[in-house]
Amino acid sequence: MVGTASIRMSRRSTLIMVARVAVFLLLLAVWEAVSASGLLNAAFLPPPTQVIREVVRLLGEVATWSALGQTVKAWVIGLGIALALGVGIGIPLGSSRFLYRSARLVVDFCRAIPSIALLPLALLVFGAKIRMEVFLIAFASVWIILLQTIYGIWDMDPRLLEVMRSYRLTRLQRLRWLVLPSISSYIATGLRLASIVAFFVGIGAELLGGAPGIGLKIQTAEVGGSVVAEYAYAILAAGLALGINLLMARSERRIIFWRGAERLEQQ
Amino acid sequence: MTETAGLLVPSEPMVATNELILSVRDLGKSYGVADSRKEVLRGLNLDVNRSEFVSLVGPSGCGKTTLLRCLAALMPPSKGQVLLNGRDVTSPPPEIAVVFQDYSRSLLPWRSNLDNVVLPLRNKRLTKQERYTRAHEALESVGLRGVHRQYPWQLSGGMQQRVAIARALAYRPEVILMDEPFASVDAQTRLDLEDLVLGMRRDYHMTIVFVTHDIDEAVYLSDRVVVLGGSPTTVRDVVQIDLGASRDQIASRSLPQFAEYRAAILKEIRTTTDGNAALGDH
Repeated sequence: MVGTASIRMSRRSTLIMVARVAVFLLLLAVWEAVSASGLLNAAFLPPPTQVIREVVRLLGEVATWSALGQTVKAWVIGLGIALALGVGIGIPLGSSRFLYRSARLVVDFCRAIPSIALLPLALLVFGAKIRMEVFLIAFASVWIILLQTIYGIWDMDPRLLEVMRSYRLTRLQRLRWLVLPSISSYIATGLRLASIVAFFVGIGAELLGGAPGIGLKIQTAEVGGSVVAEYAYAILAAGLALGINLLMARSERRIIFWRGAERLEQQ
Repeated sequence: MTETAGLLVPSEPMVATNELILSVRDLGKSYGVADSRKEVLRGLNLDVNRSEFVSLVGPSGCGKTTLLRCLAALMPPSKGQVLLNGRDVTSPPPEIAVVFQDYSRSLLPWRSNLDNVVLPLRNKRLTKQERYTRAHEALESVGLRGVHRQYPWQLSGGMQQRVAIARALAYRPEVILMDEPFASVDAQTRLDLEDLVLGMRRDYHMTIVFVTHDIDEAVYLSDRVVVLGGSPTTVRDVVQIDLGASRDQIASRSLPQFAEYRAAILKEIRTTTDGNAALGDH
């Protein structure tokens, strides 16, 4: 029973994989056809074969890898700061209705500011450096993680807190052994959502603000008039984003191993 | 005021003492403020002796759990006080452990069963080795073997409650407060767990305060059954249960006195709820 179901499942997933590749190839074919037809100016839409060749060539260059590394570095630091601040501020805000109500207006207001709008200001303060990019990334991500942390605290089981209190665990012990694991699923979701926003903001900060990284490479290619390279870098950036998303989703499932089991039990 | 414990058969192993351990003085509890203020408990007095098994019964919603929370100092009383060994209880004391009804919500799902039992021992002056030895022993004495690496959610409900009981046991409290601990397990498991608790009390000379809405369970387990009722709730009656120190699920429950105690308690509960169908949440 389970056996046939899983065979059916694996057959299905093979089919989906094949379909995915087919859709991807179809897209390349359409791109190639449009590029060859002269429908659009070929100078601005080089054929995919040429772009892919350029991607392969760039992957052989140290400069490309160091640009990718710089983008990842800013992303990691920015997200790390957002995580620390979001969780650190989110826990007290989630624990006290008074604090939450007091802070809510400021949070909603700041959250509404598009980070890219802060770019000129950040440039002025930090210059076209990684620090500027880190600031923008942290600013863009912190609100998502902050709110997720607050929701996580709200969703905590008061019974568990009571049990831990009756066993005289200190505040710090409760934080470590109860609160943080309890809200970890919310934080992980927040981090996954924030990670993509952070990546886009990072690329933006590089492309428009001149911070080092793959975004700056796109900008340099643009200035240098190399359309093929521009496409190639964009594809590299997309690949990086895809990888980040996959990594985050994977680790989210692994970290919160008890979640699925709990759901299973309730059914 | 002090109720003497009912067990008068000296040769039997689990005999309550006359030494007062837990005492509730003129306890009152109200919720809410001003107009919406609701008085739940009023003028409640109760004395529990060392090694005694006392059950609290009463119609559902009468504030049994509120009383238990006040005893555990998880909630401050609005009036009166709770004394443990003569001292005023204001924060959860190390001499008390609590076992709740909803076992799945009282164990940490991200920690193994063993770790769940070990966790509260962290603040005791024990070496790591001692903590783990104690936890292993406690799991063993509640009849759980080979589950210490598993997680609570991998166990059945009855087994999860055993882990929660083992956690209380390893903590070595003087008093265990139990809030309808067996209300969510199946009938057979329930009988087993009842005997487990009796054995635990016998072996470790523990004082147990047991909240239940099941009169049979209260009679079977207890030295004394305290009937709560009224609005606001107070102590309506205290029934001494003289069924001998060793209880047996079949023999004890077949005794004629068992039926008498049962009838007396049920009658008291019925009158406190003015004839309304009493024990609601069955």
